[in-house]
Amino acid sequence: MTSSSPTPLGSNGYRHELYPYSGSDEFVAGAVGFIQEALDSDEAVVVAVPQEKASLLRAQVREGDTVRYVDTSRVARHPGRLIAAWQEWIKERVSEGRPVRGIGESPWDQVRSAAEATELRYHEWLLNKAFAQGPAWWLLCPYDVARDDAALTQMARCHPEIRRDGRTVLSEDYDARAPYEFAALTDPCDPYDEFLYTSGDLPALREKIAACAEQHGLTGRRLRELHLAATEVATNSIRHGGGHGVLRTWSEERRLVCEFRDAGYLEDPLAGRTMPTARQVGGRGLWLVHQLCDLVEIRSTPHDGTTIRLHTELPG
Amino acid sequence: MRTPRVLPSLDEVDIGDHVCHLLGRSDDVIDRSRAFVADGALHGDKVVIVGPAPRTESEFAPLVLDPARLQGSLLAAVRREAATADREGFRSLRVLHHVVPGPGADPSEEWLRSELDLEEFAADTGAMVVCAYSGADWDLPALQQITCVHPHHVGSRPVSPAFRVYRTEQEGWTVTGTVDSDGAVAFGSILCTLLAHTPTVRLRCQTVEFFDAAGMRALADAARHLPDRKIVLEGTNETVRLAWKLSGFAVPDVPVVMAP
Repeated sequence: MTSSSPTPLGSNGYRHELYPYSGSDEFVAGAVGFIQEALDSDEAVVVAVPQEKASLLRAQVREGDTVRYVDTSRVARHPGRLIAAWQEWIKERVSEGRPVRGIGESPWDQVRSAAEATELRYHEWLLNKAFAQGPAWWLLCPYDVARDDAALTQMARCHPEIRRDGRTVLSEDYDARAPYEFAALTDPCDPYDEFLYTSGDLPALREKIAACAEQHGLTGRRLRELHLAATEVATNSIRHGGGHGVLRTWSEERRLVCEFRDAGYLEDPLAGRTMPTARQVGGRGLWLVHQLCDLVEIRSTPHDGTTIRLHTELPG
Repeated sequence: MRTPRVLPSLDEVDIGDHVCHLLGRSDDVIDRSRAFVADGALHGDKVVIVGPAPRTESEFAPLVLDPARLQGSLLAAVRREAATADREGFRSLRVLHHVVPGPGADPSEEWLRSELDLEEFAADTGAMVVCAYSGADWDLPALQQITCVHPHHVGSRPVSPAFRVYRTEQEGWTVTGTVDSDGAVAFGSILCTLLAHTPTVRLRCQTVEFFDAAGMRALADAARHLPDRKIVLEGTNETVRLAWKLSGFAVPDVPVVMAP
């Protein structure tokens, strides 16, 4: 299998290619072909796919200095953690000075909610921004077309290139200048609680969340983590979002949802998605939020302000 | 073991207490503290009043140590008084400290150092120290910081600090409560003040309820503020340790040890 390179993408040569396939045989054929191209060109490869998919590939291509299989279990179902994970996974290979390729597939068949699927697709779109300034590497994203056509079209909007019949072509659905088209957030489930917060209200806000969480059996470490994440979001409202905000809490599908609304605008869509350094002045709050919550939804526009939803899986 | 508490009145002050007494703008320090001073005779305690010398005739004038006329530090003076009390057979030393803002360039740093010294002094010697702050002299943010370094509190003004740092043993300090963005600056200032006098600060954190990113950054900045310093946090919960690591602070460049 050979792939052409239709156009240099991005100023640094980052390539992000969707690979629609049908069934395991096509998955293996496409992925192994991509790896073989890399081996022929003395390029390093990082494979980050669900375990069962990795097993299929391992049977064809053994792990070694050139091809490395990474454990995705801690991040695969947390879209907000994936960019930092890729930065970490390719860091060592990039430092070797060799061209790097990656194969990344999310566990789409294990997705827990429509919100999670949306955030996973948004992550795919954000990858183009995250690596726009470097380093140079080439990511292939296998995607099983057994899912509905609408979802495939949405995926195509997130990838500048598509691999079809062994050839790389430009994705006609991708527009580098267009904003990501989010679906509207679902309405809060009834009943929900509401709390207006401003400076000095952080302890009360945590109490509100604790009361709601404990009703649903969420205590101990998971509650402490939610408290921390909620405090970071509410602090942003108070400091940068007009001085106040509105908290809503409800449960849906075995998840506790904490929603924060304020008048601020979060300009950088990558905020909180890259790991902070020890010397970094700010930028830890949203990072912690992504690391501590099961799912984070962020919607922000200059006109409507910011809405952030934190999802925490409930026990039992 | 010393534990923080709110006292209903100065009658409840006990051995080793370091009390923040917040007074209203019109309150007279001596009038509001008269019972504490008088109780010295009842319990066999030596009494010292630290503050400006009275401008008029006062029954308490012989007890007054005026900081402006002291040779050496306030801490050295009260240590001398405690040693004298011990030699003379008193049960303990009672210190009523009427704190007034100093004329220095950075009075907040000055009072913080003084209060931490007095906290250590009370814990180590068993002296009873009441620090009286008049609302006429201090604004609310300053008073909120002041209460952070007193384990005990009395007064009509409902100023309750989110966290407290107090002495619990010869080599250590205890942090209790919540260290979030509202208190991070004060927390950092306290740590920097402690580190200015000792290379390693031990903080017992078993009763810390909450630590946010701003509090952690204050901790990291304080640890790097001076060379060859170290902060050891003991009794941290797994969420604090996880958040510290996730925040990128668990590196050799940040001399902080987080222990369970």
